[in-house]
Amino acid sequence: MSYMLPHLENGWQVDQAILAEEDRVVVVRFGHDWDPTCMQMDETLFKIAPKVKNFAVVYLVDITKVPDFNKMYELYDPCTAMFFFRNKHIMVDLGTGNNNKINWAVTDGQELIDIIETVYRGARKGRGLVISPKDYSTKYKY
Amino acid sequence: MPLPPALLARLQKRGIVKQEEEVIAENYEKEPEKKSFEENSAGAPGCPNKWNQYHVCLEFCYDHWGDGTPEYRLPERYVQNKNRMLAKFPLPENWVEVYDEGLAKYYFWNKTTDEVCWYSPRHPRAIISDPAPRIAREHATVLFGDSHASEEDNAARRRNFHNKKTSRGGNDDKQSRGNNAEKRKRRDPMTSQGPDSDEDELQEMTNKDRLKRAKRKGIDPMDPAAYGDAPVGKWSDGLRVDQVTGADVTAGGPLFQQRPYPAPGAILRKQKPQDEEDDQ
Repeated sequence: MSYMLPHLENGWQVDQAILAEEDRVVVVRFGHDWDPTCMQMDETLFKIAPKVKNFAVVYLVDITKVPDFNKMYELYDPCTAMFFFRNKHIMVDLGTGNNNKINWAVTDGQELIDIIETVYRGARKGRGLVISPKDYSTKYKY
Repeated sequence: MPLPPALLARLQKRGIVKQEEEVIAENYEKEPEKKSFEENSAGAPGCPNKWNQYHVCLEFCYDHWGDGTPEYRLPERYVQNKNRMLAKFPLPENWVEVYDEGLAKYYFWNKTTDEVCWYSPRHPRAIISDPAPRIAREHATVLFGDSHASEEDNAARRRNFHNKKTSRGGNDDKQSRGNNAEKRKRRDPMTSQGPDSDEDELQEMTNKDRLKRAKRKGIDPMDPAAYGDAPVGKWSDGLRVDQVTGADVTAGGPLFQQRPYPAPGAILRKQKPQDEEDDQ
């Protein structure tokens, strides 16, 4: 369902999209539409977009068409989701050790809504790092 | 009553006879530095190689040959032949007979022109030439690069002038005064070889020198790089600025994970100058 979400074609568009939103969190998904992991993530993003439209907006970026941020943001995974609020990157402590991004496919819509809501509440208060409501570390896996 | 030449030479070498030395010193008071250049004019008294124009008497000649053969030990037949030659070809004006202890022979010396000859100058087979010790010194000057050649010429002229005053003992004075000059000249080859040895040391540094160099550079002495001549640098030395990764290098470890990424606009503005440089 990636074709139902807005795409950003170059770096300038990414910059302007983040600058335009002053009261909402900007969720940017870096990857490719044809990637299976991105397909699952895009399905979840499309499903939750109407529910979070009051405090979040979702954009998709193809890392092959827009290679400006690959080096700085370390976009080396097939699918990466990052959160920006008022032209500032918001970090999320998900328990994986990497607080800068979500580099897997979140298939549960409610989990993603909770994460975005937490980012919105914390960012509005001026925090640069928020704690995720769910722990995604591997201690429950094994 | 003058002393025999051999005895006079021995006494002067021991320092017992000082009268003539004082006279010599008076003449050279104005320029005492040039006195040493004259002292090697005749070479070692007992050296039999003085006739060789490539031989310069060193300290070894004085120690090894000593005083040579005294005059009273000459064979009677040689003396008779010499006297017969002199009777047949008398010596011209300004020529004197001088005994050489090294070869145990007499030679004839012109006090005015400082020329020498083994026969009487009027003998048909006589060959008159410059003294061999002087020619040898000139060759040594060319070989060792003596920078005082011009001063030596002045000293030679002064010696000729000085020799006019002395009578038969002039040669003995020259012989006795050669010892000091030989000691000084003996060091010249060693000093001239100094730069060569320095160059050798520069080409191959010893381990001690390499350790000192490593200490100056701040390298640990136990690090093998302390003994190597390869240039030292970091991992990223030699990399182009464009190839350097965009990772944040201002922090490491947990602090790095706690640092947010810059905004997309900042990244674009940072990349813009690089693109312009690439275009140029």
